[in-house]
Amino acid sequence: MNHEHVDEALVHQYLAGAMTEDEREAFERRYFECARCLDEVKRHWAVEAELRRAAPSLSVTEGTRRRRRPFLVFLPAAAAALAVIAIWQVTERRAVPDRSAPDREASARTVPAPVPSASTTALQQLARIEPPAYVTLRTRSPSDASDANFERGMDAYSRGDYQNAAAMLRTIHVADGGRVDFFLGVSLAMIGDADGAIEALTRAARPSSPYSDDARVMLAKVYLRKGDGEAAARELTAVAQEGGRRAADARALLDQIRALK
Amino acid sequence: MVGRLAHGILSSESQITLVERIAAGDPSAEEELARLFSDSVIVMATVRLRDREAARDVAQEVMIAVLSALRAGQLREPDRLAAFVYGVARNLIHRCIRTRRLRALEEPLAPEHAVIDPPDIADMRQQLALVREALGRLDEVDRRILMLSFVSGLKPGEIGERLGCAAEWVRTRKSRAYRKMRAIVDRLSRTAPSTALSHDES
Repeated sequence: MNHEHVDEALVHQYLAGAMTEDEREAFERRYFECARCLDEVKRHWAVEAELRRAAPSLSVTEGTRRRRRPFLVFLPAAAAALAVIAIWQVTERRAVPDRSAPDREASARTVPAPVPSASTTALQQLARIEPPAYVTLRTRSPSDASDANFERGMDAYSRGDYQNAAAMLRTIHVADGGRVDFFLGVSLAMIGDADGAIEALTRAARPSSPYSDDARVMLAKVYLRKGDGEAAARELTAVAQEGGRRAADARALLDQIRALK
Repeated sequence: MVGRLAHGILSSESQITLVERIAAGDPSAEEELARLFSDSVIVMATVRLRDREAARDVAQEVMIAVLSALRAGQLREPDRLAAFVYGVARNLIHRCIRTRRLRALEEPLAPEHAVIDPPDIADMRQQLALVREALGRLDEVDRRILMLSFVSGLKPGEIGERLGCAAEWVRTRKSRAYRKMRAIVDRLSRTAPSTALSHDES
């Protein structure tokens, strides 16, 4: 085996828990029965940990400190989570294909504050949105107003100011491969505008977009928060079937959603 | 000391010898077993359980279970000791996951944040210190490209699409940055009190 070469994507998937059990075992057979390869895995882990720790100083999302916030901002209390489970279970049992979102939201608002159950907590965790890091090299000055607005929007995004990020990104109307729509969608999700987030993320999820898989996984989480388990499952199934970079994440999320049903 | 093949892989003969020594009650052989496998079992458990404390507990259980079996001469294929250890580890980790299912579900899922902190073992501590020092010596562009690749899990083409650069440029830059970082880590490890990156290949 070439001990100098570690398949970084594979190691990342392993450390991120984004592998099936069979894939994990194959990985461990390859890397764990050799001291040098195991050292390479540890070094890779150290690199990820240190880069993550250093993320705030690199003008990206601020790691653990900010990861816990979105839940408080976005989720309208435990009532919505309970409604998610209740409505989804009813939907599944009756096999009703279409339920309007406003009805679901109204139901959520009328549910009295419940005692959070274990499955409610688990579902909340599944629906948690983690704003992805944004990194730019900024090797040149903004060439036009759209570029300048995008930079201002992403500065706000990196500071965790999603309200201003969304306001700035909304002013941009150029085709850029889904980047603006993706970060606009995430920002809207973070400030609780689920419908706006779905609209923007759906645009970012076009098959030609490099953000397609990320946008669809994010869409699934927004749908979960709206109580639309079917739509969430549809997005995740598509990502899983296409076999791209987020396929393993999508499968893992799907499995966990199904385990809660 | 257990013999290894050229690249640190435990040979069949070495595994048989180690199993025989443990069955014969040789305490140094038991220490050798722990030294050889405890780190990798802790890594396996940490990745699966997403809980460093629980991973340590399970790793200890694994070592006890393996030693009990070996002392009692229960390993039928002593040349497959490593596979046996990892098999016991998987079984005990799965048992732990079943009993802590909800806790496992509570962990974040997005890959850019799902990599749990490394286990608190001496080797990892030193790796972290060396890597931290090495990353600090890279320029900002190199660190950012490594972050998009390692933390966000993006491929060069995807990084290029997001940064407006050619995939080939990203690939070259990333490869060069990682090589540079490795070289710094190697250099630092040679001067560190105990070398985290040395390999036992006796």
